[in-house]
Amino acid sequence: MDIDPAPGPEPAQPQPRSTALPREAPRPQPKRFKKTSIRSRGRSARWISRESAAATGRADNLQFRRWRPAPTTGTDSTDSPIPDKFARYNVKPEVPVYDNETYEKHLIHQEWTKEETDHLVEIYRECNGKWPVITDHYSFADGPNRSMEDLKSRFYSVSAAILQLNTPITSMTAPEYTLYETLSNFNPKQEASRKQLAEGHLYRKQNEVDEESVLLSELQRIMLSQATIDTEREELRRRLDYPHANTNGYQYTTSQALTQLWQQLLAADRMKKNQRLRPTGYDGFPTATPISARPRDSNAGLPDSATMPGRRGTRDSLPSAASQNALPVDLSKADLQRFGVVQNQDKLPGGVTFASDKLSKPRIAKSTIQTDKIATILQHAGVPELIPLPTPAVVEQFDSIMSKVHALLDMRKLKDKEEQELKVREAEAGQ
Amino acid sequence: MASAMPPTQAPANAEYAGDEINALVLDPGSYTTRAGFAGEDTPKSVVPTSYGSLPSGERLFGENAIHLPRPDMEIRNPYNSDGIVEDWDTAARLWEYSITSRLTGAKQTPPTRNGLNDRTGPRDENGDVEMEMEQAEDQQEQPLAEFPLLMSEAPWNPTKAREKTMEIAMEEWGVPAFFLAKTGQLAAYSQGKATALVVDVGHRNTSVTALWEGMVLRKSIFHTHLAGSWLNSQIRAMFATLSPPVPLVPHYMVQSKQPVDANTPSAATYTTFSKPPTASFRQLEEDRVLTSFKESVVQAWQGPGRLDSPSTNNANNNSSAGYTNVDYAKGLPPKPFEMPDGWNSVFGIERFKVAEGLFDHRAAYPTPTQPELKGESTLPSLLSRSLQACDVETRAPLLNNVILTGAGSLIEKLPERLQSDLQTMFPNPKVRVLANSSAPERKFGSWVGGSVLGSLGTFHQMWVSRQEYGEFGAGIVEKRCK
Repeated sequence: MDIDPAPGPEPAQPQPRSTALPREAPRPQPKRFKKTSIRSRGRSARWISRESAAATGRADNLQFRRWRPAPTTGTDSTDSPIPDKFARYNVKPEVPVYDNETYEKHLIHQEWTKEETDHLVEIYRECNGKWPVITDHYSFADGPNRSMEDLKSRFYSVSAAILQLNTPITSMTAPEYTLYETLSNFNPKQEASRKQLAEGHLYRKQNEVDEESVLLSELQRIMLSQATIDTEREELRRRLDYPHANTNGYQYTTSQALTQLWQQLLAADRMKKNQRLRPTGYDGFPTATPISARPRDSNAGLPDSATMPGRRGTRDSLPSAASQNALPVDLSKADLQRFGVVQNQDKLPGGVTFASDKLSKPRIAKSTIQTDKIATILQHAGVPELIPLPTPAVVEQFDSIMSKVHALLDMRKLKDKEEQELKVREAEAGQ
Repeated sequence: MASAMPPTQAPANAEYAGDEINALVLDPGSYTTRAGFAGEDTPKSVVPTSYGSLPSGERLFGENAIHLPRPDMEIRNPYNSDGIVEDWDTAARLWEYSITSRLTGAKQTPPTRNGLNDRTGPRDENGDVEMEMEQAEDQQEQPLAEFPLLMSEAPWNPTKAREKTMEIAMEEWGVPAFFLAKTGQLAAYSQGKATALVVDVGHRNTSVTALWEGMVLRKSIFHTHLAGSWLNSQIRAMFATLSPPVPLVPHYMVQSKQPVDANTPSAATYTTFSKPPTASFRQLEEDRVLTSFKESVVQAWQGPGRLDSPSTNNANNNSSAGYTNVDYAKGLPPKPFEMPDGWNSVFGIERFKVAEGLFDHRAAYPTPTQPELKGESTLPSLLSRSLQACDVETRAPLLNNVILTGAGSLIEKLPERLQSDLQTMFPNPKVRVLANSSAPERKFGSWVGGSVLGSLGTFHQMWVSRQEYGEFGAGIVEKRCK
């Protein structure tokens, strides 16, 4: 049974009746909030009203009356922990501290007097370092109108100087140094121009804002549907018919790979009977002498032909089978001659050969008598013994001369033989 | 830079910031004076600032006193039209009355009158009885000496007024600690914002204050007289323009009334006075009728655009050149209003027009005292002037937190209209006008902010104590109460 002190209607009990009359159903009882028994509620907390210090950060000893829970143990602490709870919110901004001497030595500025600088530091401290508020509260009677950038630059320069004085740069820790750097690198003009830009941005007209929002929504739409568009494109490509490469074509994108491919094809082509590919000037065997160093008649055309191969790259080294000219540029005969371009169709012998050998070797025959004979003929013809520069034209001429010399020698031999033969016959005929 | 907690980080549950010391919060205004204990959510004492002044020099404060028709009572107000106190003596008495009438205990009756000293004791030559006066005097004269007092002030309060307030509090009332805060700042605190642009629409003045991270930006404070009292004058002018002009009869004149049809003259019996009450009393009572008119009928055109600008309303397909918002508003159902004497009518477009002057200076009704409004007194121009005085980087956050407070802002659809006007003026940043939907919180916004501030544990280091006042004098209020 609950010890409910509050009076209430007695629950109507059904009267015991004879079974002839219908029983009265028990009335539904109103729900009552059961108060717990006094014993189980226990003692309520005791609160006492006491004077205690207002806040620990105050200069005076202002006392306020507060209610606080009575201490359950015997000791009654005089200063409750409540003020201490809020003491940590009492943050003060850091300000550079300097005295007159330091000011005289390091902090002099043309446009700022000491009083004004002191005033600025004071306002900074009062306004908790919030620059919009500082600019608002700043009012120095004697000074000119200062913008926020002026105030900031002066304050930062003073802070940086003091920071540097307190800890020399070499012994600053990393965060201190970054702070010092940011303080020193404050650029008031840049800040002012940035603010002007911000102002212009703030006052943009409605149509600009609308345009920007439309573009942004467009961009978002594009980004979102990027994936779906890609898959759709892929599917479309699959539906269209095109030859599929069964090897990877990507390995031949670099110039090195292309040159290698060309060499392979060229090599394979040489093996065949009728060559279809014509070797070009870019056959890939890296010659020791680049084109510009080869001997030529004139140097006038040097830059063009030197740059041209570099420009064209290796793609042009794949010739078309139909072109006769293995050069990348069609040169006329006059140009060929002028630029001294020679198309050497012969197979070059391996190893090191000298072009001057072409001028000296043919003079040497198997026997010394022949060599002497050749030498006398050449001397008679006026060909000097030592030809200084074996240019292609000279070599060609020399070859023709040598062939004529050989022909002459052969004719002489034949003439001697015939004379001998004639003498013998005459001798036979005369007997 | 100070390394404080960022304002966006909510404190942990264990860091309950309340530390209630039973401070008193007094928020005096030009229409009502609000007072109460810090930590509560509404002021327990709301006393009209108008007082009755009898020819004997006696002043009657309180609602029960001023609304009683007496033949010789003049209704006065200690505030001037700019919202600053003029009559300091009356103001001090009024503030004391607002606190002692409801909040502190009743004053002990002085020993001269408490009936305990009538018979006892020897009488001296004058027949006076010697009484225990010293203790009683101390107790009588200092009912406010127990609690620290937090008062609010208008943001443009001059320094002299501030110092005078402090003197009254410290010397006449003997408070142990005192602080003076600006109403705009407190209204923002009541909404839980430390960075906000507060628009306070009061009775005599509407003010704009910008608050940055808890501190007021003084250069951004602007005020205009376009407020509740001006709206009353607009309604009177509007009544005069209607044909026939609307009869404005206050309640005390009416003895009994009969129901009549709309726009027909009233059929009421009026009370006759042997000596009728004064004109100022009649003005006060008429203003009460107008207040109920403002509460029930007046509405601001909610935008977009002004009332007479071309309508962009797509609901009506009528897009002809002459279709303005006026035509749209005429299509809305009008609202009826019944005067105390039974005269009633419906008000359609007029109820929009009276409030239009707040936003469009050309749409205001011309009144005898003021034929024309200046363009810079309207609410949107006030806000733009205030923003111009702030740093560029602060403007966007301020526009994102525009707080509309004050009893005058309870005009229907005023927040929506302000939002649409501001967004049109500043299309780029996101403009957000915060107007509390609860009417008492808007009416007593600055009081609630004072209650919040006075019960914060971290505020207790900012009180100005008697000791400090004794050392530095009244000039300390400029230094400490920023």
